[in-house]
Amino acid sequence: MRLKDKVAVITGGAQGIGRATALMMGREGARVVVADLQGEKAQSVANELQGMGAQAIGIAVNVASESSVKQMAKAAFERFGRVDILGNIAGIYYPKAAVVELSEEDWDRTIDINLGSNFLCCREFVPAMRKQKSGRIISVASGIGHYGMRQFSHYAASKAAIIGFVKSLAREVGADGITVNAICPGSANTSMPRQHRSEEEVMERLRSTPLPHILEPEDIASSILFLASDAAKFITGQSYNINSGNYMF
Amino acid sequence: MCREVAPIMQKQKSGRILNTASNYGVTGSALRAPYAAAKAGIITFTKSLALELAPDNVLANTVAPGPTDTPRVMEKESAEARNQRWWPNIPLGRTALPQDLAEMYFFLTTPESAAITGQTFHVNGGLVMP
Repeated sequence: MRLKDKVAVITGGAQGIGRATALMMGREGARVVVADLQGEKAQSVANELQGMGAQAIGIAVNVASESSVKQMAKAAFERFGRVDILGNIAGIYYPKAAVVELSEEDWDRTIDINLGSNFLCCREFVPAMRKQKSGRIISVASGIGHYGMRQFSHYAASKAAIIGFVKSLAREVGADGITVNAICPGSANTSMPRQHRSEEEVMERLRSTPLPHILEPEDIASSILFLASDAAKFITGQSYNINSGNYMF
Repeated sequence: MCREVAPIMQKQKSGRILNTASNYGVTGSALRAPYAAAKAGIITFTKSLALELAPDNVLANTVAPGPTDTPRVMEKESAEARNQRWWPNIPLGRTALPQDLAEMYFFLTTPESAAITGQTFHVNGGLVMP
Protein backbone atom coordinates (compact mmCIF):
# COMPACT_ATOMS: atom_id res chain seq x y z
CA MET A 1 0.00 0.00 0.00
CA ARG A 2 1.62 3.18 -1.21
CA LEU A 3 -0.30 5.62 0.99
CA LYS A 4 -0.76 3.65 4.18
CA ASP A 5 -2.15 5.89 6.97
CA LYS A 6 -1.70 9.07 4.92
CA VAL A 7 -4.52 11.59 5.04
CA ALA A 8 -5.64 12.85 1.66
CA VAL A 9 -7.99 15.78 1.03
CA ILE A 10 -9.50 15.58 -2.44
CA THR A 11 -11.54 18.53 -3.69
CA GLY A 12 -13.94 17.78 -6.50
CA GLY A 13 -13.98 14.25 -5.12
CA ALA A 14 -17.61 13.47 -5.94
CA GLN A 15 -17.15 12.67 -9.61
CA GLY A 16 -14.82 12.27 -12.55
CA ILE A 17 -11.09 12.57 -11.90
CA GLY A 18 -11.63 13.54 -8.27
CA ARG A 19 -13.73 10.48 -7.53
CA ALA A 20 -11.27 8.17 -9.30
CA THR A 21 -8.44 9.72 -7.28
CA ALA A 22 -10.26 9.41 -3.96
CA LEU A 23 -11.07 5.75 -4.60
CA MET A 24 -7.55 4.93 -5.81
CA MET A 25 -5.97 6.59 -2.79
CA GLY A 26 -8.34 4.78 -0.45
CA ARG A 27 -7.37 1.48 -2.04
CA GLU A 28 -3.72 2.40 -1.40
CA GLY A 29 -4.35 2.82 2.32
CA ALA A 30 -5.06 6.55 2.60
CA ARG A 31 -7.68 8.05 4.87
CA VAL A 32 -9.68 10.25 2.54
CA VAL A 33 -11.58 13.51 2.88
CA VAL A 34 -13.92 13.68 -0.09
CA ALA A 35 -14.74 17.38 -0.47
CA ASP A 36 -17.18 18.61 -3.07
CA LEU A 37 -19.85 21.21 -3.68
CA GLN A 38 -22.24 18.29 -4.07
CA GLY A 39 -22.21 17.15 -0.46
CA GLU A 40 -24.48 14.15 -0.93
CA LYS A 41 -22.39 12.82 -3.79
CA ALA A 42 -19.23 13.38 -1.75
CA GLN A 43 -20.74 11.36 1.08
CA SER A 44 -21.67 8.66 -1.38
CA VAL A 45 -18.02 8.37 -2.51
CA ALA A 46 -16.97 8.34 1.16
CA ASN A 47 -19.46 5.51 1.75
CA GLU A 48 -17.97 3.65 -1.19
CA LEU A 49 -14.52 4.08 0.34
CA GLN A 50 -15.76 2.83 3.69
CA GLY A 51 -17.24 -0.17 1.93
CA MET A 52 -13.74 -0.95 0.68
CA GLY A 53 -12.43 -0.78 4.24
CA ALA A 54 -10.93 2.71 3.97
CA GLN A 55 -11.55 5.52 6.43
CA ALA A 56 -13.29 8.42 4.72
CA ILE A 57 -15.60 11.35 5.24
CA GLY A 58 -17.62 13.38 2.77
CA ILE A 59 -17.76 17.14 3.20
CA ALA A 60 -19.77 19.74 1.30
CA VAL A 61 -17.54 22.66 0.33
CA ASN A 62 -17.60 25.65 -1.95
CA VAL A 63 -13.91 25.83 -2.89
CA ALA A 64 -14.32 29.41 -4.09
CA SER A 65 -15.40 30.58 -0.63
CA GLU A 66 -12.83 31.37 2.03
CA SER A 67 -15.20 30.59 4.90
CA SER A 68 -16.38 27.33 3.34
CA VAL A 69 -12.79 26.14 2.73
CA LYS A 70 -11.90 27.03 6.31
CA GLN A 71 -14.84 24.97 7.57
CA MET A 72 -13.85 22.05 5.37
CA ALA A 73 -10.26 22.17 6.66
CA LYS A 74 -11.50 22.34 10.25
CA ALA A 75 -13.70 19.27 9.72
CA ALA A 76 -10.81 17.41 8.07
CA PHE A 77 -8.42 18.16 10.94
CA GLU A 78 -11.08 17.30 13.53
CA ARG A 79 -11.65 13.91 11.93
CA PHE A 80 -8.09 12.89 11.04
CA GLY A 81 -5.78 15.30 12.90
CA ARG A 82 -3.37 15.86 10.02
CA VAL A 83 -3.09 16.20 6.26
CA ASP A 84 -0.46 14.61 4.02
CA ILE A 85 -1.91 15.01 0.56
CA LEU A 86 -3.99 17.78 -0.97
CA GLY A 87 -5.52 17.09 -4.36
CA ASN A 88 -6.85 20.30 -5.89
CA ILE A 89 -9.20 18.77 -8.42
CA ALA A 90 -12.44 20.77 -8.15
CA GLY A 91 -13.11 22.82 -11.24
CA ILE A 92 -15.64 23.96 -13.82
CA TYR A 93 -15.45 24.10 -17.60
CA TYR A 94 -18.67 25.71 -18.78
CA PRO A 95 -19.99 28.21 -19.96
CA LYS A 96 -18.73 28.36 -23.51
CA ALA A 97 -18.38 31.96 -24.74
CA ALA A 98 -16.13 34.04 -26.94
CA VAL A 99 -14.06 36.67 -25.15
CA VAL A 100 -16.17 39.49 -26.58
CA GLU A 101 -19.35 37.85 -25.30
CA LEU A 102 -18.14 36.52 -21.96
CA SER A 103 -19.72 38.15 -18.91
CA GLU A 104 -17.57 39.40 -16.09
CA GLU A 105 -19.58 37.19 -13.77
CA ASP A 106 -18.72 34.03 -15.72
CA TRP A 107 -15.06 35.08 -15.97
CA ASP A 108 -14.83 35.67 -12.22
CA ARG A 109 -16.69 32.49 -11.37
CA THR A 110 -14.34 30.34 -13.44
CA ILE A 111 -11.22 32.01 -12.09
CA ASP A 112 -12.49 31.80 -8.51
CA ILE A 113 -13.47 28.14 -8.67
CA ASN A 114 -10.57 26.82 -10.75
CA LEU A 115 -7.73 29.01 -9.54
CA GLY A 116 -8.92 30.67 -6.33
CA SER A 117 -9.66 27.23 -4.90
CA ASN A 118 -5.98 26.31 -5.23
CA PHE A 119 -4.99 29.42 -3.31
CA LEU A 120 -7.62 29.00 -0.57
CA CYS A 121 -7.05 25.28 -0.03
CA CYS A 122 -3.25 25.52 -0.08
CA ARG A 123 -3.35 28.42 2.37
CA GLU A 124 -5.38 26.29 4.79
CA PHE A 125 -3.37 23.09 4.56
CA VAL A 126 0.23 24.20 3.98
CA PRO A 127 0.85 25.33 7.59
CA ALA A 128 0.08 21.83 8.90
CA MET A 129 2.28 20.25 6.24
CA ARG A 130 5.05 22.68 7.18
CA LYS A 131 4.83 21.67 10.82
CA GLN A 132 5.14 17.99 9.98
CA LYS A 133 7.89 18.76 7.42
CA SER A 134 6.18 16.79 4.69
CA GLY A 135 3.30 17.09 2.30
CA ARG A 136 2.16 16.53 -1.26
CA ILE A 137 0.07 18.95 -3.23
CA ILE A 138 -1.18 17.97 -6.65
CA SER A 139 -3.29 20.36 -8.69
CA VAL A 140 -5.20 19.46 -11.80
CA ALA A 141 -4.58 21.98 -14.57
CA SER A 142 -5.26 21.17 -18.22
CA GLY A 143 -3.58 20.92 -21.57
CA ILE A 144 -5.87 23.78 -22.56
CA GLY A 145 -3.83 25.90 -20.15
CA HIS A 146 -0.91 25.39 -22.54
CA TYR A 147 -2.47 25.61 -25.97
CA GLY A 148 -5.62 27.67 -25.30
CA MET A 149 -9.07 27.06 -26.71
CA ARG A 150 -11.43 29.34 -28.49
CA GLN A 151 -14.55 30.19 -26.50
CA PHE A 152 -12.88 28.91 -23.36
CA SER A 153 -10.47 31.75 -22.59
CA HIS A 154 -11.64 31.87 -18.97
CA TYR A 155 -11.00 28.15 -18.48
CA ALA A 156 -7.66 28.28 -20.32
CA ALA A 157 -6.47 31.26 -18.30
CA SER A 158 -7.48 29.67 -15.01
CA LYS A 159 -5.65 26.45 -15.86
CA ALA A 160 -2.50 28.20 -17.11
CA ALA A 161 -2.46 30.21 -13.91
CA ILE A 162 -2.58 27.03 -11.84
CA ILE A 163 0.73 26.02 -13.40
CA GLY A 164 2.31 29.33 -12.38
CA PHE A 165 0.81 29.05 -8.92
CA VAL A 166 2.16 25.52 -8.51
CA LYS A 167 5.68 26.53 -9.54
CA SER A 168 5.68 29.48 -7.15
CA LEU A 169 4.35 27.49 -4.22
CA ALA A 170 6.85 24.70 -4.96
CA ARG A 171 9.65 27.23 -4.53
CA GLU A 172 8.11 28.55 -1.29
CA VAL A 173 7.63 25.22 0.46
CA GLY A 174 10.36 22.97 -0.94
CA ALA A 175 12.57 23.57 2.07
CA ASP A 176 9.76 22.25 4.28
CA GLY A 177 9.70 18.90 2.52
CA ILE A 178 6.51 19.70 0.63
CA THR A 179 6.24 18.97 -3.08
CA VAL A 180 3.79 20.79 -5.36
CA ASN A 181 3.01 19.61 -8.87
CA ALA A 182 0.37 19.91 -11.56
CA ILE A 183 -1.20 17.33 -13.82
CA CYS A 184 -2.42 18.52 -17.21
CA PRO A 185 -4.99 16.06 -18.50
CA GLY A 186 -6.15 15.91 -22.06
CA SER A 187 -9.84 15.45 -22.79
CA ALA A 188 -10.97 12.58 -20.58
CA ASN A 189 -14.01 10.34 -20.56
CA THR A 190 -15.89 12.31 -17.90
CA SER A 191 -19.10 14.34 -17.76
CA MET A 192 -17.19 17.59 -18.30
CA PRO A 193 -16.75 17.53 -22.12
CA ARG A 194 -20.33 16.30 -22.44
CA GLN A 195 -21.53 19.66 -21.16
CA HIS A 196 -21.03 21.19 -24.58
CA ARG A 197 -20.56 18.28 -26.97
CA SER A 198 -22.81 15.45 -28.08
CA GLU A 199 -21.97 11.90 -27.05
CA GLU A 200 -20.85 11.20 -30.61
CA GLU A 201 -18.55 14.23 -30.67
CA VAL A 202 -17.08 13.37 -27.30
CA MET A 203 -16.26 9.80 -28.29
CA GLU A 204 -14.85 10.89 -31.65
CA ARG A 205 -12.57 13.33 -29.87
CA LEU A 206 -11.51 10.74 -27.30
CA ARG A 207 -10.66 8.30 -30.12
CA SER A 208 -8.70 10.86 -32.13
CA THR A 209 -5.54 10.76 -30.01
CA PRO A 210 -2.31 9.29 -31.42
CA LEU A 211 -2.43 6.49 -28.87
CA PRO A 212 -5.45 4.19 -29.29
CA HIS A 213 -6.32 4.62 -25.63
CA ILE A 214 -9.44 6.43 -24.45
CA LEU A 215 -8.36 8.65 -21.59
CA GLU A 216 -10.26 7.55 -18.49
CA PRO A 217 -10.37 9.34 -15.12
CA GLU A 218 -8.31 6.46 -13.70
CA ASP A 219 -5.45 7.30 -16.11
CA ILE A 220 -5.25 10.74 -14.54
CA ALA A 221 -5.79 9.45 -11.01
CA SER A 222 -2.88 7.02 -11.32
CA SER A 223 -0.48 9.86 -12.12
CA ILE A 224 -1.85 11.89 -9.20
CA LEU A 225 -1.30 8.84 -7.02
CA PHE A 226 2.28 8.53 -8.28
CA LEU A 227 2.98 12.16 -7.38
CA ALA A 228 1.46 11.61 -3.93
CA SER A 229 3.58 8.54 -3.25
CA ASP A 230 7.10 8.23 -1.85
CA ALA A 231 8.29 7.33 -5.33
CA ALA A 232 7.91 10.98 -6.36
CA LYS A 233 9.55 12.59 -3.36
CA PHE A 234 12.13 14.40 -5.51
CA ILE A 235 9.66 15.82 -8.01
CA THR A 236 8.36 19.36 -7.50
CA GLY A 237 7.28 22.33 -9.58
CA GLN A 238 6.44 20.16 -12.57
CA SER A 239 3.39 19.97 -14.80
CA TYR A 240 3.02 16.56 -16.37
CA ASN A 241 0.83 15.98 -19.42
CA ILE A 242 -1.39 12.90 -19.41
CA ASN A 243 -3.27 12.85 -22.69
CA SER A 244 -2.76 9.70 -24.81
CA GLY A 245 -0.20 11.63 -26.84
CA ASN A 246 -2.59 14.40 -27.86
CA TYR A 247 -0.01 17.12 -27.37
CA MET A 248 3.62 17.09 -26.33
CA PHE A 249 5.27 20.05 -24.66
CA MET B 1 18.51 1.25 -30.44
CA CYS B 2 15.00 2.52 -31.12
CA ARG B 3 15.27 1.54 -34.79
CA GLU B 4 16.11 -2.01 -33.77
CA VAL B 5 13.60 -2.39 -30.99
CA ALA B 6 10.56 -0.55 -32.36
CA PRO B 7 9.61 -3.10 -35.03
CA ILE B 8 9.54 -5.87 -32.45
CA MET B 9 7.33 -3.80 -30.17
CA GLN B 10 5.10 -2.79 -33.07
CA LYS B 11 4.64 -6.42 -34.00
CA GLN B 12 3.65 -7.36 -30.46
CA LYS B 13 1.38 -4.30 -30.24
CA SER B 14 2.90 -3.13 -26.99
CA GLY B 15 6.09 -1.63 -25.70
CA ARG B 16 7.61 1.16 -23.68
CA ILE B 17 10.62 3.19 -24.75
CA LEU B 18 12.29 5.44 -22.18
CA ASN B 19 14.94 7.88 -23.34
CA THR B 20 17.12 10.02 -21.13
CA ALA B 21 17.59 13.72 -21.76
CA SER B 22 18.61 16.37 -19.23
CA ASN B 23 17.35 19.65 -17.87
CA TYR B 24 20.13 21.14 -20.00
CA GLY B 25 18.16 19.98 -23.02
CA VAL B 26 15.62 22.64 -22.11
CA THR B 27 17.71 25.34 -20.44
CA GLY B 28 20.94 25.09 -22.43
CA SER B 29 24.31 25.22 -20.66
CA ALA B 30 27.36 27.41 -21.13
CA LEU B 31 30.38 25.41 -22.35
CA ARG B 32 28.19 22.37 -22.86
CA ALA B 33 26.53 23.27 -26.15
CA PRO B 34 26.99 19.86 -27.77
CA TYR B 35 25.61 18.08 -24.72
CA ALA B 36 22.64 20.44 -24.38
CA ALA B 37 21.88 20.26 -28.09
CA ALA B 38 22.03 16.48 -28.06
CA LYS B 39 19.69 16.29 -25.08
CA ALA B 40 17.23 18.73 -26.67
CA GLY B 41 17.36 16.52 -29.72
CA ILE B 42 16.42 13.50 -27.65
CA ILE B 43 13.28 15.25 -26.42
CA THR B 44 12.05 16.02 -29.91
CA PHE B 45 13.23 12.69 -31.29
CA THR B 46 11.15 10.95 -28.63
CA LYS B 47 8.07 13.03 -29.44
CA SER B 48 8.37 12.12 -33.11
CA LEU B 49 8.94 8.49 -32.28
CA ALA B 50 5.91 8.53 -29.97
CA LEU B 51 3.70 9.82 -32.79
CA GLU B 52 5.02 7.19 -35.17
CA LEU B 53 4.58 4.27 -32.79
CA ALA B 54 1.36 5.27 -31.00
CA PRO B 55 -0.98 3.46 -33.45
CA ASP B 56 0.72 0.20 -32.42
CA ASN B 57 0.36 0.96 -28.70
CA VAL B 58 4.09 1.53 -28.28
CA LEU B 59 4.79 4.39 -25.88
CA ALA B 60 7.89 6.58 -25.90
CA ASN B 61 8.72 9.10 -23.21
CA THR B 62 11.72 11.06 -22.01
CA VAL B 63 13.05 11.40 -18.50
CA ALA B 64 15.08 14.56 -17.96
CA PRO B 65 17.21 14.34 -14.82
CA GLY B 66 18.76 17.31 -13.11
CA PRO B 67 22.08 17.01 -11.26
CA THR B 68 22.25 13.45 -9.97
CA ASP B 69 24.69 11.78 -7.61
CA THR B 70 25.88 9.04 -9.95
CA PRO B 71 29.27 7.41 -9.48
CA ARG B 72 30.57 9.10 -12.64
CA VAL B 73 29.91 12.63 -11.43
CA MET B 74 30.76 11.86 -7.81
CA GLU B 75 34.26 10.87 -8.91
CA LYS B 76 34.81 14.40 -10.16
CA GLU B 77 33.15 16.35 -7.37
CA SER B 78 32.30 15.52 -3.76
CA ALA B 79 28.69 15.44 -2.58
CA GLU B 80 29.42 18.40 -0.34
CA ALA B 81 30.85 20.49 -3.17
CA ARG B 82 27.93 19.53 -5.38
CA ASN B 83 25.40 20.48 -2.77
CA GLN B 84 27.10 23.82 -2.18
CA ARG B 85 26.98 24.48 -5.89
CA TRP B 86 23.40 23.38 -6.43
CA TRP B 87 21.33 23.55 -3.27
CA PRO B 88 20.50 27.28 -3.33
CA ASN B 89 18.73 26.69 -6.63
CA ILE B 90 16.98 23.45 -5.78
CA PRO B 91 13.77 23.96 -3.76
CA LEU B 92 14.00 20.46 -2.29
CA GLY B 93 17.53 21.23 -1.13
CA ARG B 94 19.58 18.37 -2.54
CA THR B 95 20.73 16.77 -5.75
CA ALA B 96 19.00 13.65 -7.03
CA LEU B 97 19.83 10.12 -6.05
CA PRO B 98 19.74 7.50 -8.80
CA GLN B 99 16.74 5.95 -7.01
CA ASP B 100 14.75 9.18 -7.53
CA LEU B 101 15.16 8.74 -11.26
CA ALA B 102 14.56 5.01 -11.16
CA GLU B 103 11.12 5.59 -9.63
CA MET B 104 10.14 7.75 -12.59
CA TYR B 105 11.42 5.25 -15.14
CA PHE B 106 9.60 2.46 -13.31
CA PHE B 107 6.29 4.36 -13.26
CA LEU B 108 6.56 4.82 -17.01
CA THR B 109 6.70 1.05 -17.51
CA THR B 110 3.59 0.26 -15.46
CA PRO B 111 -0.03 -0.13 -16.62
CA GLU B 112 -0.75 3.04 -14.63
CA SER B 113 1.04 5.10 -17.27
CA ALA B 114 -0.73 3.51 -20.25
CA ALA B 115 -2.06 6.91 -21.42
CA ILE B 116 1.28 8.71 -21.39
CA THR B 117 3.36 9.10 -24.51
CA GLY B 118 5.57 11.75 -26.08
CA GLN B 119 6.08 13.52 -22.78
CA THR B 120 9.14 14.77 -20.96
CA PHE B 121 9.40 14.15 -17.23
CA HIS B 122 11.74 16.44 -15.35
CA VAL B 123 13.00 15.01 -12.07
CA ASN B 124 15.22 17.63 -10.48
CA GLY B 125 13.93 18.71 -7.09
CA GLY B 126 12.52 21.85 -8.64
CA LEU B 127 15.75 23.15 -10.15
CA VAL B 128 14.04 23.58 -13.49
CA MET B 129 10.30 24.00 -13.97
CA PRO B 130 9.67 24.26 -17.69
